Parts: sequence; C-alpha cells; structure tokens
Amino acid sequence: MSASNGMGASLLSGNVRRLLRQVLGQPDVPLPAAAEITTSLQRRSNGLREFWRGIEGQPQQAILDLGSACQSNLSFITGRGCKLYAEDLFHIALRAPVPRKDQPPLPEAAAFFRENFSYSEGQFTGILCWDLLDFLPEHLLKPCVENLHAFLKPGGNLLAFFHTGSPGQDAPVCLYRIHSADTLEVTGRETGKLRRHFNNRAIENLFRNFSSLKFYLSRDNLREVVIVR
Amino acid sequence: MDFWKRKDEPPLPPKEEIQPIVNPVNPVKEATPVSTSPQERKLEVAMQDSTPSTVAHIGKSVTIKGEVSGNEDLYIDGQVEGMIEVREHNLTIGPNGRVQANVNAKQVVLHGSLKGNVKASDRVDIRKSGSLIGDVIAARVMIEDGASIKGSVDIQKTPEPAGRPLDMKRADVAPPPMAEAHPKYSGSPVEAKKLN
Repeated sequence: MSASNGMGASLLSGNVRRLLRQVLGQPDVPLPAAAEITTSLQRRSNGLREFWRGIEGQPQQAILDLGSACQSNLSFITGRGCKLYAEDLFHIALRAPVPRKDQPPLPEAAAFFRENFSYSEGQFTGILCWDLLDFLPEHLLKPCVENLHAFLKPGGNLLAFFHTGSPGQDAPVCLYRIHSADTLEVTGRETGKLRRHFNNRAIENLFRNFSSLKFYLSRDNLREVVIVR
Repeated sequence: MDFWKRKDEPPLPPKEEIQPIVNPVNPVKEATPVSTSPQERKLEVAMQDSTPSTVAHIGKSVTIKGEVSGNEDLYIDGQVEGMIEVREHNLTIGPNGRVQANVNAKQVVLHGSLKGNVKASDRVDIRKSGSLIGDVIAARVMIEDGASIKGSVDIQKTPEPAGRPLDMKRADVAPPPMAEAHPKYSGSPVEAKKLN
C-alpha cells in the first residue's frame, strides 16, 4: 500500500499548530457549525476530480452514494452514464444499537449492518462516502470499511472526507451536492459530534486492505482521501 | 220531473294539451339506451375511455392485495400490496399511501411510501414526503430535498414501440444495437427484483 500526500507540508504544519495549541492549553479552533452554513457554499474538490479521473473509461459504471439523495447528484451521475445507487447510510447508522462500554460488541450490530447495507461483491465502480466515517459509532466503523472494500470492484475508487477536529467536537453534518466534476455545493443539514480524530496513519490503517490512497487537504480543514481498491 | 232529467251539461272546454316545456337553450336529450350484450358493452367501455381522462381513487381506508391494473390515471392514498400496472397512465401515491408492489406506469408521483421496483416510460417524481425502497427505471427522475430513496436509479430514454407492453423482464427481447463508445450504451438487459 502506498500513500502520496497532495499537500503534505500544509498538513504537517496544521498538525504542528494543533499540537502546540494542546500543549499551550489553548482551545482548538472550532469547526464551522451547521447553523453557520445557512446557505450553500461552493467549493473546489480535488478529491472529487481525482475520483472521477480514476474510474474514467471503466465499463458499466455503478456509483454508490452514501449521502442523502439529492437531485444534483442524481443528475450528474446519471448524466455521466452511470447507474446510481442511493443509500443514506448516515441515518441507518444512527438507528444501530450502541453497545455499552463494559460489554462486548453486540452481535446484533453487525447483523443490523448486513441487513441494511447489503450489496454484491465488486458491484460498484465508485463509492462516495463523504464524511460518514467521521460520525460512525466505533463498533460500526470496521464493519463498514470491510463492506466498502467488498462492494468495490478492483480498481474502483472510494472518496471519503475527514474533518480535522478533535473527538467529541461539534462538526457540521453536510449535504454534498456535486456541481461539476471538481466542484461541490456544501449545505449544512445538522450538527453532529466527531467520533474520533483521524490522522494520516490512522486513515492508512483503516484502509490497509486497499491498494492506494491519495490525500488532499482543503482550506476548510477537510481532508479529502481517494482510496483505490 | 226535472230532478231526474239528465241535464245537458255544457260541454267541457277542450282539454289543453300539456306540451312539454322545451328549453331552447338546453334541449332535453334522450337517454342513451344501455345494452346488455357483451360485445356492445365492450364498445361502450371503449367509448368511455375516449372521453376526458378520469382519475381512479383508492382512499386511505382501502387496502388491496393483488394486481391493480387499469386504463386511466390512478391515485392511491391507501394500502396496496401486489402489482400495479397502468402503463400509459399516471400513478400518484398520496401522502397516506403505503404501496408494496412493483409499478409499471407512464409517470409516477410519490408523496407517500413505495417499496418495490418502478418502471416509468416518462418520469418518476419523488416529493419531499416520499420514500422509495426499490429500483427505478425511467426516462427522468426528480427528487425533492427531503425525499428518501434506497435503491438504484437507471435512466433509460429509449421509448418502447407503440402498443408494445413494458415488461419488467426483458429476457425475451434482444436489446437494440447501440454504440459501444459510451458505457451508457452497454445494452445490459434489465432484470426485475422480486420483493422480499
């Protein structure tokens, strides 16, 4: 597995600044709350561009969108000739039972995932995960990634976003609408809490069964990762 | 004795013939006779179909299990389980509608809940209160913000020849030859999923 940093220097400086703040006891820079994202914001997405570039030319493209269904994503994806599969996994994950800390993981949780997130092996050319993994409960994270690996066909691309905040920090849960091949329109839906902090090493470990990762860091502290199976 | 004598009663005035009141603006029309023979009844149904379109309405207290088919627009606000075939007409599922069926229609507008595969020759419109679990094949699909969809969306703009039924399974029909340059024109046959 190889990894290439799109903007490694700025990512490193961002991590150093965060570490200094923690050492000096300064509060972390809060992420913009969903309430602040009252209007849609357009932002360039290098990760999205790389995602489409990586699957270009593959036959019978099927794209799995794990965000909330929206007209712009449907129009864009079907306009490219792809078949769209919609699955609002975020709200499904919110209904999953949460095990207590003093108890082992509930077997029903994995079964719940299998019942609600079941597709064929290698069914998808691309999977748009957005920032779902930042908000998934811990006991669902690994089963989710394992399923994503199975559902993606060899050479397929997975696009995932990771916020750069601290665990427990409020973060906007956004709807990502595809405006063009490299532009997203971001609309705040609600506010959630980041379950964990992902650094590059943690992301590499999480997707260790995949073949390669590419990192892109944007100005709004959102790390875009394109994972190739 | 004059008492017993029949008197010549004066003749009664001639009875005025009661003429029917005819309104020159809305003349009275004769009722169309209804025949009872089957052949003539089929003709009457065909004549009714050519009249301005009507909408068949299934109210919210109605539950139907089985196949629902027709030659007119259909509005469902109740519960339907089975199969719905209104091929050249529109299907609207109201906000109270709970449908668990495969649907074959010209246009589908969803305000309620639908579990099943949808095939529309024109358009599928999922409104913000709508929830769809199933696969969609249509020329156009519209989704309002707030709508829920779980399943696949496949845009197929190739119209079926006139008078040819839109079968859910195309196993017996060979796909038309299409250019191979674009993945959209891969010509893979459509398979219908069975409801669980």
